[in-house]
Amino acid sequence: MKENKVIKKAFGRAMEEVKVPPSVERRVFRRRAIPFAFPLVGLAAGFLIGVVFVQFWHAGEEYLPMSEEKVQGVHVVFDKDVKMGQVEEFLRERGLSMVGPTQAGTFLIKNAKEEHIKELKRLNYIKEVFW
Amino acid sequence: MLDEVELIKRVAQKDEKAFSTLFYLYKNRLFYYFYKVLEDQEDAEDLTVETFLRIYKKADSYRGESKVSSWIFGIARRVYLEHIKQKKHSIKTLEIYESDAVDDTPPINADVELVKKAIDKLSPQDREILFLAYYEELPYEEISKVLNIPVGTVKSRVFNAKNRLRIILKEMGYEGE
Repeated sequence: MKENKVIKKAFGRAMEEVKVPPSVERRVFRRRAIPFAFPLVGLAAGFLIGVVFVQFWHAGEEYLPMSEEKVQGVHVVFDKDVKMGQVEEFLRERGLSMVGPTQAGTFLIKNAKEEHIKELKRLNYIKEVFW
Repeated sequence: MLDEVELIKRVAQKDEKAFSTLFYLYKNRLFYYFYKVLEDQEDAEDLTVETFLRIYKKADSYRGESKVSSWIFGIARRVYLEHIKQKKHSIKTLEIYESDAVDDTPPINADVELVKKAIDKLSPQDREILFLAYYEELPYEEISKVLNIPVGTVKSRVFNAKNRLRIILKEMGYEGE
């Protein structure tokens, strides 16, 4: 074998005996990723700043509980003899709807106004009203 | 498989796959180089990592004027010198002969295993020059750029390193042919 081949092979074998620690790979690929992390961190920070800003912007406003904010109306207890189909038809004709019953046996007539309740009372559909 | 020049071009475009390929091609060679020059595993690890990070960062500065391995070992050598400077180690300077050494000595033709053991007994500087010349097969002109020394000095260092290798082999019982 030629001299240069012998020396090259000898280096090759010596190199095989020197194990590269796995941490080299981990460190190269982790540290290289850091520059790419900056834009992402920037975006996340921007988003958080935005959220905080919005919170301050609305700080003076009063918020209603979700149930009250979304579902406004009048709680009523219907007469036990009334047919629910009649009530629903009455409400539908006036563009209203209701949800219920609750555990207490009440129904919520959404967006009901005083005149609607008076009319329902006159028809003897309602037993009790909770304003 | 891509050639190394193409790989470097892709690394310059931040191609992750190309960088991974380059990493696997060079990780053993660079780690071995640093390990044998520094004779310290932790430092070898740090410098290997640093070299790869620089390769990634500076891949666009490769102009294709030299072999990719020369360019990479040039970076490795600079990383090594900076490390030495930081650690305030003195670099052992070898006796430098500027003349072109004529190698008329009989070629080393010993058993590979024996040569491997002899290489291990060389000084880090001798091992470095033989590694670049024989393992990396860099031409003298490119080694001179990597080590930042004149071509004549490269030739004499290779000549002297080989002579010392022969002496070690003789001490180990190799008589030559």
